[in-house]
Amino acid sequence: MRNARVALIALIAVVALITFFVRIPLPSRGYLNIGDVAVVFAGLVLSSLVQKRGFWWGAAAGGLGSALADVIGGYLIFAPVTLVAKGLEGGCAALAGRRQGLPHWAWLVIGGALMMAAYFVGEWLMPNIGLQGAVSELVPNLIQAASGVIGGRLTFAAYQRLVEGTRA
Amino acid sequence: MVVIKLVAILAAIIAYFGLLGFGPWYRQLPVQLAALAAVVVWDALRRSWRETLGLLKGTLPFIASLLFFGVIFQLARLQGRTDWLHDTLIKCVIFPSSLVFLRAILSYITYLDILALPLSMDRRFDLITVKAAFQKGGQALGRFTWYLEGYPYLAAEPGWRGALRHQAAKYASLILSLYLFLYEETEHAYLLLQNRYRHLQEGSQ
Repeated sequence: MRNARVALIALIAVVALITFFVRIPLPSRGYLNIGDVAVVFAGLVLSSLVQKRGFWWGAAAGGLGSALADVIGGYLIFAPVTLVAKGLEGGCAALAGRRQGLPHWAWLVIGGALMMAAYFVGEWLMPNIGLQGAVSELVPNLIQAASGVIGGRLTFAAYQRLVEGTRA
Repeated sequence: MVVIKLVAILAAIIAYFGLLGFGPWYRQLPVQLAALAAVVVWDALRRSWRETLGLLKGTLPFIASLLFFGVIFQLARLQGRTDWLHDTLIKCVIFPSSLVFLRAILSYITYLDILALPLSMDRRFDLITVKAAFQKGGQALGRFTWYLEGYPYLAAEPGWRGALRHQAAKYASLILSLYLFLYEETEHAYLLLQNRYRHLQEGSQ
């Protein structure tokens, strides 16, 4: 499994389908999903396949896949914010993949924090949502970011054992 | 011609969401219901009633969760608002409506349209494989979920911890199996396209 381009296309589809699959609506018109697990997993997988510009590969998989899920699911207005927010999360996950120990976890946490920050600013500026809606989504986004880091990391560990024959 | 067709499709999508998704007709339930009926008939005539109703059936769990949370938000008067139920009903209509609309309108984009785009052959291959990956993935997702539900290793254990572990393992397995499946499918589609393209080039020389 060394073709990064093929992997990127497959991961964009995986992120979009998984994001679309399980959704819990939120007060501000958004929704909670397990797509973050797929975004972090995509970033980590792509970092193991590409040598350079890993951030952009991870950002493409996370951002495009999640934005596509918004478009398909009727949340078109969220798509631009999602593209940036999930792009940052996927990109940071790819940066984490090139590192070990504390820096590895630090990049994963930074990715989650940037995702939350991007959504907060984006929703604050959106019509019909505003600061009140943006604040009400901080906790759900925190849960989503944390589940993304833990779930994505565990899924990647299973992938490494299964495909690469190594223990994460 | 293809570019005009794609721009027209994009304009229709923007107009649809601009008017119904967040525009002036968002809060008008009768308009939303009329739009839902129209797109359902359109999609059913384009495909079949069975397929369209199957798609609508797939949205029921999400609609049920929308209603559930809508009622809770209404009872709790979250953020001081009293229109949660009305807003929820609109969402319950607009979600299946936009889903059916997008499926119907995107079905007009064919593989031949992608091939005719003024892009490099590599980019066209990318777009074709993305379209193929989505189709294959969408079909496989339901099958994988059903299979994982019945897989003994992932059987639900008693207690909330067991239930949580079961859900986590199920979704991790789902992501992993979907990725491995789509990787193989995408790689296969890529090789097939490249071989056919090479064959056609050799034939034309």
